[in-house]
Amino acid sequence: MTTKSRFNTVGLVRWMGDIVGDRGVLDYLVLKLLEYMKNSCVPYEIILSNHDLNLITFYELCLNNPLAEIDMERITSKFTTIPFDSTENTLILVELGILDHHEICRIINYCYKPALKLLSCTINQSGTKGNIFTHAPIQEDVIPAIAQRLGLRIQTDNIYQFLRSIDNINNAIQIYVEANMLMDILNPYLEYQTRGFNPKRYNIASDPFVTTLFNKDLKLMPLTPIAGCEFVQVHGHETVLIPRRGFEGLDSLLGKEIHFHDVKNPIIPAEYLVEMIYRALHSRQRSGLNPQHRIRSTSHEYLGGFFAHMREPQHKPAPEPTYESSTCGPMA
Amino acid sequence: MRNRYLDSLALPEIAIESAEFSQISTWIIAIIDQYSASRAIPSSISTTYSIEELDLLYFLPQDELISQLIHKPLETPASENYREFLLALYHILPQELKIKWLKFELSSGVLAANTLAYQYQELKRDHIDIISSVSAKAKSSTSEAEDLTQNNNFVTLALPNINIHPGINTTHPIDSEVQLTMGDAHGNVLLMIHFLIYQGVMVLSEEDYRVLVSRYHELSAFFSGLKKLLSSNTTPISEIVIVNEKIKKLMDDFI
Repeated sequence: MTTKSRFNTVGLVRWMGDIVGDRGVLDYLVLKLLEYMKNSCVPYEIILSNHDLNLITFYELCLNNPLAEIDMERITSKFTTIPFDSTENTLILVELGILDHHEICRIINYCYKPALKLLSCTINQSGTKGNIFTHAPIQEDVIPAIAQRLGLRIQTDNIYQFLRSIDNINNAIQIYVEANMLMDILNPYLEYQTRGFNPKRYNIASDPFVTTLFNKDLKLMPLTPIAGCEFVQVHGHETVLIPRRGFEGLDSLLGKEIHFHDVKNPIIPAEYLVEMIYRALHSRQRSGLNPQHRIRSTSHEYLGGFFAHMREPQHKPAPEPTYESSTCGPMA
Repeated sequence: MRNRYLDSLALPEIAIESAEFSQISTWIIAIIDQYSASRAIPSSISTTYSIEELDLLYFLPQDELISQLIHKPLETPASENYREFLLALYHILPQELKIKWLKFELSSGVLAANTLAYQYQELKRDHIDIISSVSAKAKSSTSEAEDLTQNNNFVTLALPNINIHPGINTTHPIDSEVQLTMGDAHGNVLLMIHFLIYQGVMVLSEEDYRVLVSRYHELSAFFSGLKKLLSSNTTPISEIVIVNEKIKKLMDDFI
């Protein structure tokens, strides 16, 4: 491991998606960065996105199956409209025998898949303000529709029940992810990848996952307060130049590999420059109720707690919530 | 609207709502001239712009004002103070005004946007801190934004360039209670590392970052060549050896 870089303590790093399967050079580099973060006990989570599905598809179709041959022509023919150079380059190197396919599978299994979330939620100390994170912008009817598709229901009697419901959704998604069956519940996505997402055609009740991953319609109603908590919907996927009440977009053209072809003399077209904003969220809100839920996607589990004594604890224990756990969970 | 800074300049009384643009623009340029002349920016790191002074700009006819502002640095390219002020001004403007600003530059054929980008690249870390603090003040001055995003700080960086070490954001330090959220990474590991460095999560020296950027772009250029070779059905054995070494070097040194 390198000695040139090191990590400082942070509560959580949340990637809003498109970290793999996009225009970058190589997914392998991103996976190695995640592995480095995990080995350094830096907590992180990854919001599932449309481009991430590119790598997940390849993993579930080919990489995870040692007997399957990687037929690039067959696979790439399905992805004519969505750039996925970073995954393609990774697969080329696997095919050429440069990258070890077992190593990639190992990193995906231990560093990438456990950190995946469909959506994430944070609240402030008083439980009156919060953020809901999804890759694409959504409105409030999407979350109950997702829960229904997973055989769950959203409890909104108090804010803690709502947070637990969000946790339940992510736990259910994790079951599919761990079983390499995520594509089974995201079947329509190939159609949207190839034909583009048409907001006029989609049906939220039948395609809530597609909405969460692909929606580019920005004319949405802000979320109404849930159990007295006012939420801001933080999303990526689409660059937003005009501020909208109740929504915060973090996507930009920055790093999209279209600006700096000439590194020494970068000429930035002004129309791109407008959208090349750097925007990140620095928040002191908390994720969910149980700090263990956050730690679940970090190296503590991966390392078996072996190195835990070598660093100071990162999370203070959260106050005991006042919710009734029996009211959450699968629908009767 | 009046404020203490304008009062101190002893400018003639003017009602902004009813004033002609030429009158206002002359006025604002005079303010800026006095501003840049009277303040030794950036002689001290702690020097920041007062938000009350900049609030005035929101009440002016924006299109023409921006055109005035943009032409100003081109006429006086040696005025570092003015450039500094201009950059800070750009940073705190609402997004709509930024777009107008850049569109004007585009339509007028003036490369002020790029000029601004170059200037930004040349700025030292201390200057970035000044700009960040101006931005933070601008955010906190609007009560609605503060109310809606309680415990949230949206960190912005004017005209970022991921090929250059970003420095560290000292305005929003991190600790074990802070959650950082980054937008779409576009599969770009350089952008992810840039974000981690700027937010203070990852520590990497400027020299090492420069080498990392150089190697990343070497790898990027290599892949475009490799794809051409693969499409021509030749066996690029030597190329394979080279890419293997490049990846190993990048991995071993930095990640």
